Amino acid sequence: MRTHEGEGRYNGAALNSFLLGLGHSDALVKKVLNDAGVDTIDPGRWYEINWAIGIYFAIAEQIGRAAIIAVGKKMIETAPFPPIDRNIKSLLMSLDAAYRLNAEGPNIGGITTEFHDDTSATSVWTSMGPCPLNIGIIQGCCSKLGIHAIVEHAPGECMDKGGASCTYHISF
Amino acid sequence: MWLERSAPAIADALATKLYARPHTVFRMIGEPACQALARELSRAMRADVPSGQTSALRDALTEMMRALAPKGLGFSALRQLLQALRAVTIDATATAEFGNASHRAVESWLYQGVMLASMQLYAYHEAQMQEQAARLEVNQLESQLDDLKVALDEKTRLLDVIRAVSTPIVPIHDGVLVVPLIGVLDHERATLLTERVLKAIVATTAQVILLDLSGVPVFDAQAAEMLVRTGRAVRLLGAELILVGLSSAIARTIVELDVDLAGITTLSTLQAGLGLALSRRELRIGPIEPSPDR
Repeated sequence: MRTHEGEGRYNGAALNSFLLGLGHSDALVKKVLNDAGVDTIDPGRWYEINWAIGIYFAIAEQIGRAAIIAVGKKMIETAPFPPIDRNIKSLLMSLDAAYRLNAEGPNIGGITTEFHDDTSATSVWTSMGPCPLNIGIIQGCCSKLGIHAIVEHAPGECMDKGGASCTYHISF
Repeated sequence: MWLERSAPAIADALATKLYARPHTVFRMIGEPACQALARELSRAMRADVPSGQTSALRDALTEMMRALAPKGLGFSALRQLLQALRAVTIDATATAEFGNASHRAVESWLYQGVMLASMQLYAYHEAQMQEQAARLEVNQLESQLDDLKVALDEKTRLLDVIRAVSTPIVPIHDGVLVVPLIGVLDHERATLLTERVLKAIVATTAQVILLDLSGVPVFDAQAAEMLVRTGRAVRLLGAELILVGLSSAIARTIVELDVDLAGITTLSTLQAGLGLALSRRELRIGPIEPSPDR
């Protein structure tokens, strides 16, 4: 897990929406939260960013890649997000703003997206959080507009394996 | 011919386009590898288009898939390749004398390229998924097997404990041992019994062994045969085996199996056996004489 060095903080609302997205895994959520020293996540407050991101990774380790992608897909419905445009390009471009609604502090990373044409883009993420969650979030954004996108992790570095960034090729 | 003249330019332009985009498998393999791939596709075009075939294209795509799919060639990279190939080919046709027939032949070849490459990528991913599913299944089976091995080891250990405690050898008097058996006497247990009885005879210098079968509901032919052998082995050690507490079912079994118990004394009850054992030792159970001072 990549850790943040500094005074970063993370929005409880986003973390809570992630936990809600797990649906039936109440026992798992309870165990992970207990291990982290809390009973619940307060959506109205902010948490220390490494602690909050640690929750994501703890759950990712338990439920596996596919389940994390599934949860990521739902996050656009529940996590704080800028007003959604009915345009896929605008939506993908707004991912960085959405991330900054939920994470604050110096050097917290970000999301840049470059479009190659009307149906493909490359998105580079240096944000905190598990890689499969990012894939799920991108797919969820596209699904919001009824688009089934193919999201492929580019060859090369991955943040879950110690890299500085994850790059995703998006075809829609 | 147009193709011969344009092929080098097509290859160069294609290689440049492939290598240009960052974060792709083409950038990862490097410029020389991109040039080699582009030359191969250009060569396939020269070979196929005049004859209306796609065999060279198929071979080139197969080789590309074999080399690059494991390195991360996905849908987006494939699309980049095919779009770039079409773009550089169209650019080349715009600058050459190019008839409609030739144009149609090139378009058809490019279209076949899209079909073949998509199919090959799909097949690759399908094979990958099947392999992953199979690996997962094998892992699950291995995990189940490990659990079963642990359970079997535990069961075997418990059975050993049960066997040990279910074949007690009780010395009731000097030279007299009682072996009360409870439960089914199968071949395995009979073998264990023989071993333990012989060891006990040697250890205690016993002369009479009372084998109480009243707690044994039934036994099989092999167990009966083992009893006969035990009797012989006991005699070889200078002792005597007496079977007591034979049920009617065991008696019937002995008769039906035609087991020869010659040389082994059989009695109906442990009490009768005990009396005989003591008499062999020139002893008997009798009332205690009242003391003179009472």
